[in-house]
Amino acid sequence: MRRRGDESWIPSGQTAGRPRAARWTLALAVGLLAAGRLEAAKPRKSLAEEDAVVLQEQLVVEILDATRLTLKVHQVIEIHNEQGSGKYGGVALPESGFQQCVDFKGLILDNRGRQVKKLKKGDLIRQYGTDDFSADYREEWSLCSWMRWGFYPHTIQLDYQLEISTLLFWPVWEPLWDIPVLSASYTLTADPAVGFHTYCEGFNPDTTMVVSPDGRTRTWTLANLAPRLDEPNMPVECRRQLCLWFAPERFSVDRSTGSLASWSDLAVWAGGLATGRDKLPPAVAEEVRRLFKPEDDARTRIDKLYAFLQLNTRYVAIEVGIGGWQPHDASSVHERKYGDCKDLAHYMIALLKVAGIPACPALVRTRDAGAIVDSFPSSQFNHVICLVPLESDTLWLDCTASHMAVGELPAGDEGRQVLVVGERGGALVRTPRSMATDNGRLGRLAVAVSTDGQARLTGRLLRRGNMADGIREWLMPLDEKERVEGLEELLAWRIPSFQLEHHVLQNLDGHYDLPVAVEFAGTAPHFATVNGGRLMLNPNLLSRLDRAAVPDAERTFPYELEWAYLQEDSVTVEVPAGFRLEAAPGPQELLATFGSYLTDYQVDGQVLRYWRRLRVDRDQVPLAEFPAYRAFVQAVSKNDEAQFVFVR
Amino acid sequence: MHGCRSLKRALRVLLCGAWLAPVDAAWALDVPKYGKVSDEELHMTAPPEDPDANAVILLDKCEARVILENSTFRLEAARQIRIKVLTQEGKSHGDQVIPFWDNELVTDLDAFSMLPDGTRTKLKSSEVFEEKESGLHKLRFAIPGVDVGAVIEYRYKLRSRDVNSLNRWYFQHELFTQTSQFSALVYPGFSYNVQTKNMAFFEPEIERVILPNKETAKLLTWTCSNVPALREEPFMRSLDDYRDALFFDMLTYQDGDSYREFSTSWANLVHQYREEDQRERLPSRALEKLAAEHTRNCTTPRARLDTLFAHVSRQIATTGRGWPQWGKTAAEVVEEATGSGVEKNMLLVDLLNLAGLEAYPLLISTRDNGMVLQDRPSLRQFDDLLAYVKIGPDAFILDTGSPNCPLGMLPEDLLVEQGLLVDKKDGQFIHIPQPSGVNMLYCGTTAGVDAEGQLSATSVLRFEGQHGIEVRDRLAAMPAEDYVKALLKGCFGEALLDTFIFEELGKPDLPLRLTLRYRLPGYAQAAGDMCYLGFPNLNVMKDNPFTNKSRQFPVEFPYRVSYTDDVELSIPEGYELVDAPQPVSLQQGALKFSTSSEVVEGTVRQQRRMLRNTLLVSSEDFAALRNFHDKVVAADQGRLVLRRKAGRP
Repeated sequence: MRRRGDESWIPSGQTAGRPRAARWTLALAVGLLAAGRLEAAKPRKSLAEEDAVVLQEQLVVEILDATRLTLKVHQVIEIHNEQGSGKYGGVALPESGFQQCVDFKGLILDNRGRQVKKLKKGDLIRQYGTDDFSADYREEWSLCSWMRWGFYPHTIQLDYQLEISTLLFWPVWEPLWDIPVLSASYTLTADPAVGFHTYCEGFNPDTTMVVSPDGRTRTWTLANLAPRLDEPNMPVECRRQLCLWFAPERFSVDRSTGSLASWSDLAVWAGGLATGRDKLPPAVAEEVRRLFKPEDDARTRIDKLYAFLQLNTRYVAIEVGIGGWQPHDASSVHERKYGDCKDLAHYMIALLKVAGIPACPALVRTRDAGAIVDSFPSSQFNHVICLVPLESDTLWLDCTASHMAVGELPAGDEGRQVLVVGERGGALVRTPRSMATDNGRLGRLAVAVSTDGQARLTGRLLRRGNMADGIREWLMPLDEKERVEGLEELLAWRIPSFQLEHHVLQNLDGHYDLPVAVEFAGTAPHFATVNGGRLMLNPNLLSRLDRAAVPDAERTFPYELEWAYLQEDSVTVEVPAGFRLEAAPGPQELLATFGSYLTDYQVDGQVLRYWRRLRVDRDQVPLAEFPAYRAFVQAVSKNDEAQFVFVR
Repeated sequence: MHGCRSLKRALRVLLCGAWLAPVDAAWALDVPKYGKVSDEELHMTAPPEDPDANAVILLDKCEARVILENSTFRLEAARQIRIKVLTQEGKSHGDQVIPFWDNELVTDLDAFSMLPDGTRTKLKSSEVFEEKESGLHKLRFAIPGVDVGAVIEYRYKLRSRDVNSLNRWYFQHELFTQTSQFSALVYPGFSYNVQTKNMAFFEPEIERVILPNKETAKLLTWTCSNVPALREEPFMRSLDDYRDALFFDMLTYQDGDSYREFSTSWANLVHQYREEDQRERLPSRALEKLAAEHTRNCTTPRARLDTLFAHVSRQIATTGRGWPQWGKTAAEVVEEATGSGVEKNMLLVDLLNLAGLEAYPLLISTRDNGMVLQDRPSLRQFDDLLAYVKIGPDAFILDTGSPNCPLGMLPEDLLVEQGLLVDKKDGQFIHIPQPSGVNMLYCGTTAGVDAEGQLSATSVLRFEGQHGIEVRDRLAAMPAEDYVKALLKGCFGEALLDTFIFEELGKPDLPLRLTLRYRLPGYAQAAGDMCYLGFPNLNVMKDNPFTNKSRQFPVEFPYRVSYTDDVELSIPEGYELVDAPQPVSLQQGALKFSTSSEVVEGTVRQQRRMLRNTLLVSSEDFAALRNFHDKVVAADQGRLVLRRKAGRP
């Protein structure tokens, strides 16, 4: 079930990216082949060595009037082998309530240019993207088929036309693929009465543009484009290496009209769609009032209402027509007890209104969709949250986060530029980022080891913030038996063959303002390695960073981390009488601009006391700091994996 | 056989109202009626049998009967499902999807939720959305008003042109089920067959229903109560193989002057299958030419088999598996050089026959699809097709869907025990011999460590059998360098790959060989004069794959495996070996593990062997299986202890 970043604000047409057809094709390819690509740092292959090459991609957009446009696409792809056929031999044309395919022709040409296969629109099969267990319904689907041919090389030629009934889905131009593109162009013919603005990245639009004699048609052409660079942990916005985006000054969706002249104008439109939808029936309002006491301050009321929302609603997205942007009215959300992000945000606003607390929606582009381009007012958002301005503070509420506390935001909403929708417009502001200490993982462990390497362990783990969110997401749907198995699996990750005998889980379900705590006890039959007269063990059981975490050295883009975090563990290990410490990794003190790593230990008689603290203060490491970050991770993992050796 | 007089008579019965007799009263068994929720249900908590459940199914009910509509027999089934929501997580059961096929129709969908305080919220028809994807329809709806404690209920009618489309009734689900009930109203003239699976057969309650024409219909009802929840476990073929189930098949309709069959025999199905197939697969000159061209120089039947298999498997690209419908004829597959696994196997059958060999399609049910029940003739039980060929006394079962699968082997999901041979007679079930060979992954490593603790190594890996298929498949989907780097990273973490080479990559009949040279910085832990390191085994087991304490169902492995590591590690100059891991020898049934080491002239050698020579481990033996792997993980953590020799800097 998609919750955060449910794309309810981009219901069927536009994200930053290539026209949907190609984007879907790529998505299909990615789905079919989850191959990691580290090609940025490698010497490029010759064209013949590529699985496929885009010989030509032409997008022709005609803006018919302020409400309609057509997109004609001509793609010619040369397929070199079976892998290329599997990745690029698929067709997936997007359709929705706002976008219809009116013409399609697909040809396969053999290596002599002879037509060997032809597909028409009637050969395409409709496919929805919703999973088999979700009640979500979005009025969008794809027309799909395969264009496979087993002789290589061959050429796939696609020609199709989409009719789009809102300029909000003005096709973008992102000509890069993950294979070379020899020729790409975007032709725009616009009614002079339709004003628009553009955003360009990676090339100069003026030097690549040709204008027709009548001035109505502009064509941008690029040639010999290398594949898009891709790296692990690359910020999503870095995929935007070459693009030209368009946004109309004015647009209409169904019978609603709006402007993209400024962010404030977009906010006016979004606010207008919700006008009058925040009213709750008197009986419901009275029921809501009974939730808090007159003497409750604003924060207490917010806490109670947010908990009420979390307990009494569930996420279901029903988006038909303008329902991709317009929230359902609060009273129907109250009755149905479900809604998508904008439904639940506006319902929360209605609840707060009953409590006398003003609040407003904020449009978000979640982290997994990349950063917005703030200089380019347009429909770039895929989520809605709620902003509550208080006298001394501003609270943010993600109403799809069913187990977060007031004031916490899911990681995908943190540090994002969001469009706050006020009564008379709006503005971009940035949501807060959580600090390392907000996302703490703290552990305490006591281990008693016997001479045969067996150990008895008792411990307590605490997880805060995003760390707690993750464990709640994982464990909450499970029943008790599955939770025990899950905890065992979690602990057995570093404690070989750990068998949980007893545990107490606190604050998993409810008390979301408190850390999730697990107290546990159990045994590990193979805790320490017995080597002749030696016991070898690693006390760093709870938060080890292993060597697989060291990123590759070659890097082109910043390194994205999930969030800032803190790990702090203290472990005592009691070894059997007669053993003394023979070797141990030395205490560490690594200090860097992006974090720190400290370890220490001491041995008192038969007891080893070990302490470790890793703090990472960034959610993204700039490219300039990446070598230092990599060296830091190398040092941490080396130390984390080192063993303490006791000898008799 | 299907005389129209029979239909006319049946139609008369229908028109006189006999088949539309109000059956609700007659079916009045001790299950709640739709919409009538008891106080007990509204206020119930989790049942003692499943105290941690997020939700329980209070009632899962189906009433099925065969009706006559537009001169055609059809199935009409009334479904009713009632669920109690016990936790926040259980609220997700308010989201429902009803799938049905083009030849089916779902009508009369109603749903509501009812809270413990009696608040009832009904689903509106505008809140039901239909998706249609190439023959499959889905009704999606979110039941409104669902909260913790709510009882949610929905019902609908399903009509199908296939009289036996609901013939498999599962009493058991992933939720605890308080009452599960299947009823069939059997009118005079119908015969039927009933079987159970994973549960003892039990007699139904039988009620006689007097029809308006004075004839008597039988209402058969099977009810199960308090059925435990069933949850999938790792290393399981198909959950459906273990569910408590009932199979109800309408067999025939017969009256004084007519007879109609709804169910059939395997022989009939085979004949029908063959006839339909032959109609679609007209002889093609192109195929004849292809078969002749490829086998022109083949002097033996086996040579013809080898060459045609190689051609279809490797020269024709595979586009998925392709069951149950395959759109292309064999000639089209040849012309386009692409086809699904099923289409390619059918092509191979055709080519082998044209080459004078005796070849047939073999229908199977894949491991994920579950076991075939031989006493229930239905082609729906199958979901894939292989090629079968007989040469003298030898039979070969072939799949051309994976170009990396050699003749004589089958891909993992197709490793099943039986199949239905569509031969020239009545067809027959044949036993598919399980591969008795062990699939070996051998790794020989020569390594040395320098004073900084960096390990430099050369490893030679030999992937045999299923390992070879798996690695070749992965190499077809990703750059070879990425695969090798990921292999090293999975074993050792940070690694520097210097060179690598694959041999026999394009020869699936031969083991795949990989030779790689690499370095592992900081591999050995140096502390003062001491140095500690493990053997660099590429088959190392870092985690026990069996983490659960107990197990309900047997552990099912697709094939037998063995892993062998031979490591030769040079002791760095100036160091001496102080201690080495003790030899280990473990045996648990058909599982064996051993390590041994020796020192020869400044070199430590370790041999590590692991063998799993079984396909099935019972749930009773699960604890021992888990314990065996625990010990393997522990043994793989053994370390060499080196010490700088006295007097050395």
